[in-house]
Amino acid sequence: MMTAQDATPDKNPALIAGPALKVSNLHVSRNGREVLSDLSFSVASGEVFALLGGNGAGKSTTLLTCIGLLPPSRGDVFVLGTSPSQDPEVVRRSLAYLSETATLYEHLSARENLRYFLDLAGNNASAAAIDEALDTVGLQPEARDQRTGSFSKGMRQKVAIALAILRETPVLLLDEPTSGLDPVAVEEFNQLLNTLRNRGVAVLMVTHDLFGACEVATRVGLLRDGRLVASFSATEDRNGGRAHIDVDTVRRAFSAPEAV
Amino acid sequence: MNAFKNFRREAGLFLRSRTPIAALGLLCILVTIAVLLGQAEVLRQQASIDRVQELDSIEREAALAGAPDFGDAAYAAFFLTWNPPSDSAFLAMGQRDISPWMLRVRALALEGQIHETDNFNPELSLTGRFDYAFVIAFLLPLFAIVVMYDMVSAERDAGRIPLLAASVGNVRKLWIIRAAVRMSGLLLACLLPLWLIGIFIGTSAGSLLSVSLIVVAALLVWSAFILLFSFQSWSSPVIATSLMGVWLMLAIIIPLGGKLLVDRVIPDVDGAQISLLQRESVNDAWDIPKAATMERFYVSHPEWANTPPVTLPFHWKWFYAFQQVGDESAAELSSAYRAAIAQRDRLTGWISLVSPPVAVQRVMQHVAGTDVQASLAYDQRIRAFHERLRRYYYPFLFNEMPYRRELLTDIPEFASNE
Repeated sequence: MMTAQDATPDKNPALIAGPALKVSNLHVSRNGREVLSDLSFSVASGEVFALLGGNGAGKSTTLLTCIGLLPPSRGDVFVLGTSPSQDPEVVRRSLAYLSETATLYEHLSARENLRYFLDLAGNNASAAAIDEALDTVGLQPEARDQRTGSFSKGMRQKVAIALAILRETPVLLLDEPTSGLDPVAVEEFNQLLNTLRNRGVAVLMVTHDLFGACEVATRVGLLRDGRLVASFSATEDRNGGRAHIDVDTVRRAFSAPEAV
Repeated sequence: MNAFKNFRREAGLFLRSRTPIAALGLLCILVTIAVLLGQAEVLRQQASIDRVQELDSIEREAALAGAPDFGDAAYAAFFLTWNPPSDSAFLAMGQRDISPWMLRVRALALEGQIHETDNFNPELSLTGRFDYAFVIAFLLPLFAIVVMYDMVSAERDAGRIPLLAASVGNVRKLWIIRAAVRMSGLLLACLLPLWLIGIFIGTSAGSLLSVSLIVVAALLVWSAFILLFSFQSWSSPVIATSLMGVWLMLAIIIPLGGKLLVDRVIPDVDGAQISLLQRESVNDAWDIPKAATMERFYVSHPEWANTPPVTLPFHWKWFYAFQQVGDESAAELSSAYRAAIAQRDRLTGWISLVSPPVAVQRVMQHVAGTDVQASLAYDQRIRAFHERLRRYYYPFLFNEMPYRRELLTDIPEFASNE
């Protein structure tokens, strides 16, 4: 007979069948200050959830806690039913992370960076697969063997996105992914995100870009002082177009002094 | 297999970093220079010993052949004593830089002969020699700091830790592999030139292995310090500065403070004082009645007490008796001198427990046979040989035998392992 102790999240089918990412009553403190306070949300497979918030709202802290780099003081995070505090290794193998600054090794080329981080993740992607991913993100072939130290921020971001694609993880965490990208690159990135969403990847994106979030997300949450104060789901366009979130509605809620 | 693959991946990444690789290259060059300089010094010392050994017997034979009596023969014939360098002496010259490793003695008072060279090489006793032990004790920690200090902080400063964590799963394992890669690089830089040159010049595998273990131990100790600081959530400059402070404390301040403590707790006996005391006693003998000198000599050498009294203004047996009485006058001070050296060495041993560089030098000098104990052992071998030499001449002198060269058939000769 199964006891309560046996029902660990990674073994419990009921939990795995739930949302790909679940944040439950999360409290996180940093340097003695509570940064996240009773934060709860979930992201299902094939969903892009954008957490909107100003500086210091707790956006990046949320991602770091999901990766297991910050321990929660209360509450927990579950990635495919497993908590990073219980088994960070399993959790981290289930997710890919893209930072705002695309922190690649500057003394390595784009290909070498991808090879290194894929090896690190135990992924044996072929050279052809790497080239295909770089094609997908639109990195010019002549740039692929150049040191990434000479890359623009947009080019570095493309390499980091290619890495996220190649990881083929069910959960993708994005920290300000379009920050510093030119409009064309942003458009390409949004298309890519749609592709990943259609493949069933659960995407959690933190950003302060209201328009970008409404454009690409299926759901938007407003984070203020570590609390989720409002959330909005995409609705069908009257003309039968793609589901989207109304920017004005979110903007009003974003500007409101109290939670909606 | 997985561990090897991980190691190879991290080694590949490390080999692409310019600064640490340049540092390892420089360390490798310094190690090579230190080993070669040490070996050059050992070859110089061995060549000196060989050359002097050859000339020593020629000169002695000439002295003995031309001597009119046994007293003159004992006076003129020098005997070489030497402390040959071990096969690993080139790694740590130690006491060979400041204590004699070759000394020609004769049957006269010994203390003056032994301490004649006490001020032979004061500048090396102050600065030390640039040998392998110096590189491992004092420079390896600095290179280890350069190569390892920002292993974690550089990733943190670049904001790469979340990406690494999301990729590797267990970041702690990654740090361990990266530390292992860096330590392997440092070991390679320290050991490869040593083994190549060591095997080429015929150093025993045992000595090379012992020294290699010391290098590994030193690197482990320093790596522990560096990793302890590296894992703090400090910036790279703060970590580097803190580690430099630790190096300064362990490599400079503690050894200097230890030296002051040793000087205060166990004051050094000046070797020149021993020479002076012995020579004053010898000189005084010319002004006091000969019977008084002979009486003192017979106390320690009663077997000659019944020989005829000295009646002439000069007699060799009286001359050699006051030489020995001179040594006996300085014996207490001489013994205190050696005891003080041994005590100072023991206290330095305790201090080395809190100073890895001092500990490394001491252990390497022990392996190389160039430590204080080896130096004192050579001193004892000289004393033992000198006693054999004196006692060899005494029957000829005290029995007042007429000189014939062919009677000196089995003259004692110094053996370096006696």
